[in-house]
Amino acid sequence: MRLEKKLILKEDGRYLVFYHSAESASEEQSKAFAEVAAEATPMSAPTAQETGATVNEPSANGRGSAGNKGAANV
Amino acid sequence: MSELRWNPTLEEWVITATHRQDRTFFPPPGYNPLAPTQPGGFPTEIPAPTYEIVVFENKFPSLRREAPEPSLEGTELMPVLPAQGVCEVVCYTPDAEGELARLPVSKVEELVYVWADRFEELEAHDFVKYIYIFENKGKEIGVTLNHPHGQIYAYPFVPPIAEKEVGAARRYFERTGRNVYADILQQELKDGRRVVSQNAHFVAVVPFYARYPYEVHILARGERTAISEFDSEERTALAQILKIVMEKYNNLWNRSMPYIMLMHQRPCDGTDYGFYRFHIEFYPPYRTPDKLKYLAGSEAGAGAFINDTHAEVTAQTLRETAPL
Repeated sequence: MRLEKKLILKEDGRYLVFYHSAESASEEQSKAFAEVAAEATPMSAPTAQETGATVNEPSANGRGSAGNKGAANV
Repeated sequence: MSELRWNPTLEEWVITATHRQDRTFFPPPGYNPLAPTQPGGFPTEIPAPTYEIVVFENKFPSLRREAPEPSLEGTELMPVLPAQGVCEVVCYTPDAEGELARLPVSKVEELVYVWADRFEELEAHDFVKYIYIFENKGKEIGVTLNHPHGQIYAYPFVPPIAEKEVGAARRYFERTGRNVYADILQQELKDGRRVVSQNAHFVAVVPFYARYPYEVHILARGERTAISEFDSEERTALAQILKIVMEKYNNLWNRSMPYIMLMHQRPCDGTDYGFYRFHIEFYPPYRTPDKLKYLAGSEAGAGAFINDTHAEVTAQTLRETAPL
């Protein structure tokens, strides 16, 4: 399954991400997604992603990285 | 506003969120904040005439990316910290009367991909130590919006139940050299009495140690510790078994079953959690069609659950309940 996403920023600074699957979307949903004007500025959080990005297919073994952030709790 | 207050008697954080007293509470249909915004209509949270799946930051969050300073100073005994984190809302249908159980498997699968994407995005934050994906369904659970939706909390600490669970799995591994979830899965499959449904990658059981009468856990057969680790085949299988379990719940008493659905995953601190395993838990609050299971003195005050049923009996009932 291939997903696309677009991110917008609300007036109060909160982000909103639209997800779209061309495989399962209705014509109306595809049109609505196409008309979303994604924010031109990459957001600083939760990540500095590019807008209009594609959600990656999982790798063959499915393993994601756990990151490297240190183990301490707050 | 929000802050973290340390409880030294239980060694756990409490999140205060005083602004949530004012959050939206069962708005009239024309003011549903999770509906798509119609031309000329009430501007909802979602500025589009329809949508597939959207994720946005909660308007009344318990945790914020840019957390305010605490309202008071803590002490060495009882410290206070900013409530830094992320609270997201996940809307997977524009239909206010819809529910996850009634969506096609392909739509549930799409949601699995979104959950995995959110996990990867949120764990990139240095301040995020644990990502908790969940859904509260039904007034009995305490929802304040009828429109179906899930939530994701990215905590700046590992919450108590996750910490206890991970600690138990670590100690079991140190003692035996084996994964406790793999051993539970092996025993449940061998015994069979508590198995509700299974496919090539997941097994749904009413666990031997169920606390709620119709509690179901979906256990991964593979050595996965987070939803982002599943390959495409596993994601499809997860969507399929999720739908089967939710449909069985609805067909059990021929009505939409309320529940808490939650994911237990590894913490996000870069450590190897190979001794742990991803799983999903469902807690429906009913013990009979018209009797709720309340968390009263023993459960709420002592943490000792009293289950009025045996898992073998409720599992058989769910197993024999058709999913369609």
